[in-house]
Amino acid sequence: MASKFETLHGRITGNGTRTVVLSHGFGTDQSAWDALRPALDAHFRVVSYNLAGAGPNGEASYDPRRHSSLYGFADDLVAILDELGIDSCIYIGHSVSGMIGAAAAAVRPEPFRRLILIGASPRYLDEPGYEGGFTREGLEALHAGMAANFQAWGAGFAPAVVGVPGHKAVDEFCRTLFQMRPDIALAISRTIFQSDMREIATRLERPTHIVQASRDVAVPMFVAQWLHRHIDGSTLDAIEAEGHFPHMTAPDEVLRVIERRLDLAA
Amino acid sequence: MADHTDGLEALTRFARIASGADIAIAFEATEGGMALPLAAAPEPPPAPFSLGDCRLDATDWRLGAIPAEGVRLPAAVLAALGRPAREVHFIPTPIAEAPRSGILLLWAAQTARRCVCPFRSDVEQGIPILTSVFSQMLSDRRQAMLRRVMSDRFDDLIGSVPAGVLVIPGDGGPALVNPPASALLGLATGENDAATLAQAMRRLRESCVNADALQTTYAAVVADVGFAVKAVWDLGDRQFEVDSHPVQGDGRNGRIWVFDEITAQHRLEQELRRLAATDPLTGLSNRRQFAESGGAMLRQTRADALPLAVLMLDIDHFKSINDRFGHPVGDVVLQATAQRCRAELRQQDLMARMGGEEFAVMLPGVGADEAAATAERLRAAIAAAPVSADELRIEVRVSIGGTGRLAEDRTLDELLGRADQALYTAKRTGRNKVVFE
Repeated sequence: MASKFETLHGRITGNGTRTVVLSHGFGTDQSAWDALRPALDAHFRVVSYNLAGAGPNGEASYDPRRHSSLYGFADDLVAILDELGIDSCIYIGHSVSGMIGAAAAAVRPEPFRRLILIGASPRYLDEPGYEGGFTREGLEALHAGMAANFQAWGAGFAPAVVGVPGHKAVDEFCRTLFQMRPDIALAISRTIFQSDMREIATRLERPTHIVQASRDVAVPMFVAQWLHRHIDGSTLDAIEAEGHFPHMTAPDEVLRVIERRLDLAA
Repeated sequence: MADHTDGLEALTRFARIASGADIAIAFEATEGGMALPLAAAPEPPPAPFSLGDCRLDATDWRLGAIPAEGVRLPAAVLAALGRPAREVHFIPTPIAEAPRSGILLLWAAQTARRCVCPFRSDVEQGIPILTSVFSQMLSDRRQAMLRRVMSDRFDDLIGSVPAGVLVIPGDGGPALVNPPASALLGLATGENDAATLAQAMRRLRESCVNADALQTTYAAVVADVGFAVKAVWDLGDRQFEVDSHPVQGDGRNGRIWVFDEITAQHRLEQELRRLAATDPLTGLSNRRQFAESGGAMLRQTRADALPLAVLMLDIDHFKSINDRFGHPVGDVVLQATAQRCRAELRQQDLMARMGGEEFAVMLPGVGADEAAATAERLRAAIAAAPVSADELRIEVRVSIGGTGRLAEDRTLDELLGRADQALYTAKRTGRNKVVFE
């Protein structure tokens, strides 16, 4: 049987004794790390993979039941760490991978030395006293749009969520988004937006660094502050950037935060 | 279905308390290894997880719980436990379609105090005795779930089709009615009790234009539980092709009715039939329709012992009208002739344009004498006033030959032949007159 790492098209680059694990967000694949990767390669052994359902031939790795919750994705992550014998790593997760990493680290803290969560959200829906950024009606409209015409929806969604019209990240996001089979994209999007990982996030005991773009349509600053308040000993770095993909649109700013938080001497 | 859930939950709670575990999770898992938690104590059950990651199968559980390091527990299960696991116990409860089902018991690390009940180990050992009960409950629960999933799918399916669909289960349970069928029958969408549904269907059927024919159709098959019938329910303004057949399966599945609206096709069909039967210029029946309806009229009047007469009517010198004034004017003359005749005839009389300037009329229930009087009325109506076409006023005359049915007449052609002969006589003897054979 193919290993999880192979099935998820895992890649290893860089030189270093310490390991960084990169896990991308919804609609992208591991190529989303291309801008950050060279700088990380200089310090670390860098492991990346595609989330189930994402990347070329993503449908082969996706199981509608296993991946009906973020825990299924967390199991994939833990399986990869076990396969590669990684007993200590720095985990960098973007968007949904923030909570995938949080879930994995909450239940299997041992291999996670540190976590860096970029644009992470434990709960996307608004509630009294909690500003997730989305209303139930808004989400239903979003999913109805996805279901009706995935391409048209994606073409409209991409510039809005990337936040920097004309940036090459918009094209990149479109490319990787449309790589997904539309029904799988819809199912994963539903899983993400319906998830409530607040409780599990608060169980995170490993040092956690939250990185949040100042104007992100998917994740309001309220959410980043909520995570910061509820994860013991966490740090929050708000970077002056537009959109949900600062690691693609403002990689230098993100890198500066990572370097500072990981004490990487220049 | 609630019973299955409650029973399973109660048993899961009991297993947890009896074993002193911090969490008990009852799940079903197929050969493929995806575990679907059905009950957990404490609640709620965790999200589905893959057994492939857990290595549960590699352990001999008859020896009791093992340290948690011996298995790899899924994130969903550990998240439900809420703390790191110290010990794990698994009780396989295989069921037919889900052989990897079972109950997972977890003890958390840093548990304040382990139960020191002297019977504890016995109780823990006794849990496997519950295996068969668990299996039965899982099995029932699975069946109930499958039924619900099928029912949900069925609802989605029949809710999406434009046809009216209703399903009457064979076990006396409530019937399912989809939105188009509920609108048609005046019922609620979804479940309806069988009696209400039957009443609504009878009401609809009896309101049909063809209620009597439908009554006959269904009366013939009602005794056969396996009957399959397709019939058109004609509601006057709307028509439905109604298909009824038993649902394939184990025989408890009952019967499905599908109401397929065919109003548009029906109208089109009627229109095509009318066009095929009609002479487009005069709107009268054509020769084909005359042969069909006339034949029926002949048979019917003979069966009812009623008289019947036939007229053949021909416009005098029509060729010269055409030649002098042109075909458009000739057409107006043909139309006027048809209208004036039709105005003199009764509803039940049949008039057709047989071709050119020749018409035929059938007068059911009318004898030769009365028919001769009718023919004379027709002739006079046409001769009474000229026909106006554009600025022209054209004098039109007709010759009519007629005959009454004789006892020995067997075919329409025999009558038409005699009427034609009489018409020929009328033409030969001066035109603008009626001759009867």
